[in-house]
Amino acid sequence: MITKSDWDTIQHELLDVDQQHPLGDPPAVEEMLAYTRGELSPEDEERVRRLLVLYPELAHALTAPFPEDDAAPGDDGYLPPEELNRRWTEMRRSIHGDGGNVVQFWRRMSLAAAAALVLALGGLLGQARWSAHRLQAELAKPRAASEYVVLMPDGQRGRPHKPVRLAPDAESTMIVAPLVGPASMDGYRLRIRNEDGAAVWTSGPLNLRDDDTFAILVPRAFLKPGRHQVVLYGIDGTREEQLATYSLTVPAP
Amino acid sequence: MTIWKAGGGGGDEWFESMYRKHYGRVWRYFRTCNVADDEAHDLAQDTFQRFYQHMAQFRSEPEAVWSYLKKTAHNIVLNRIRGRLTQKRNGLTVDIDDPDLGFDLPAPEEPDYAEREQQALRRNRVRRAVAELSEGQQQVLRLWVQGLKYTQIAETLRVSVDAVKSRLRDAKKHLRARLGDDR
Repeated sequence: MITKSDWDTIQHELLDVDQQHPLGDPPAVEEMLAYTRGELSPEDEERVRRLLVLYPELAHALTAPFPEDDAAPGDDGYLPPEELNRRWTEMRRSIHGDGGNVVQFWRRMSLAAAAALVLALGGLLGQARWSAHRLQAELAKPRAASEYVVLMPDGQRGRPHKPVRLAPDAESTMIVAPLVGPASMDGYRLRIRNEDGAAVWTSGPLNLRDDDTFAILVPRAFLKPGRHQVVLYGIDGTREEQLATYSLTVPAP
Repeated sequence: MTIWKAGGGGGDEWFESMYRKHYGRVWRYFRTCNVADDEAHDLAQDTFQRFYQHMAQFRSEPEAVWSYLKKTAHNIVLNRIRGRLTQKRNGLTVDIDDPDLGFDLPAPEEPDYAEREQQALRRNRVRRAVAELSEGQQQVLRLWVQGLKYTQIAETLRVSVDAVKSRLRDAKKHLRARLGDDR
């Protein structure tokens, strides 16, 4: 008979960590969703299928059903009214401004942005996928006069906001913009406007990275001294919707 | 545009009604995805924060709210799990709150040599039996031992539920035959 020990061995054999590395990182979210819709090529479909088997937590999350009914008292997952009230109080506080909560949120985003992926700027660099590990390694190397800034969205209620000021002597700046808005849009776009409101650069369609940020590498020569604004757009089908603006100031050299 | 300003003039009262109507199910969904209770609350709040920004477009079609929340929650949990798996795989960080990070229990009492020898032989038989399964059978078995339901396995592998049951039945049959199961 198959004993419990046998099943433990079977599970270990099937989940042998040494077998995992050749297949690579988990599939991207967009890829998984395309897989469920049957939109991938046969080769990609097979690759994603193998990866989902390799990462069953993702397979589970991808296919877990949504509860369509409310849990009754005594059921697992029942939410008592007082708990719901407490959660609503937290939500209302975050909506109407509580410096502590908002600061925590953006602090967490800033830490996450430290491992953000780099995207190309126009035609200057080829678009490439960087792992967080590689980005950290690159950022750890000496480099001349460059900087890394995390932008804050304009207009946070209840908190004074000054535009981020770039360093006067940096050759280039890695600008990281945290997502504001839904993570479920078809795509995103960034645009840089000068203080006259004219667009000086517009990106192609961008995908949201795992840590909910966008990053662009901007040569300093590209930005004239003065105030600029980075604008984030969400793309939904053929519509573009402005999601957030982030102001920054470029000092004179 | 401010972060938490509702697009297009949606009212807080309506938002609260949608929040109270759907929050519990959104939270339970995250728990279904094996997210711990507290983190499930955090992810549920994220979901509703995103909804708040766009709720004005749903005022005229409240029946679309649940679809939007499901889609948003789905993306949030997939991003969260994928990010954690990628970090683990690349060895970047180990979260002190990681439920998989634990302390080793004291080693059980050592069995005697003959028993250990028998156990090793048994394990080798099991390994060979698993290796003899077809790829499809191994895939089904792998997801099944992780607790996925038939419908989830079928959706993951893009095969029918009957195919899942058939492969699993054949896999178990083979294992019993190789390991000497009479049941």
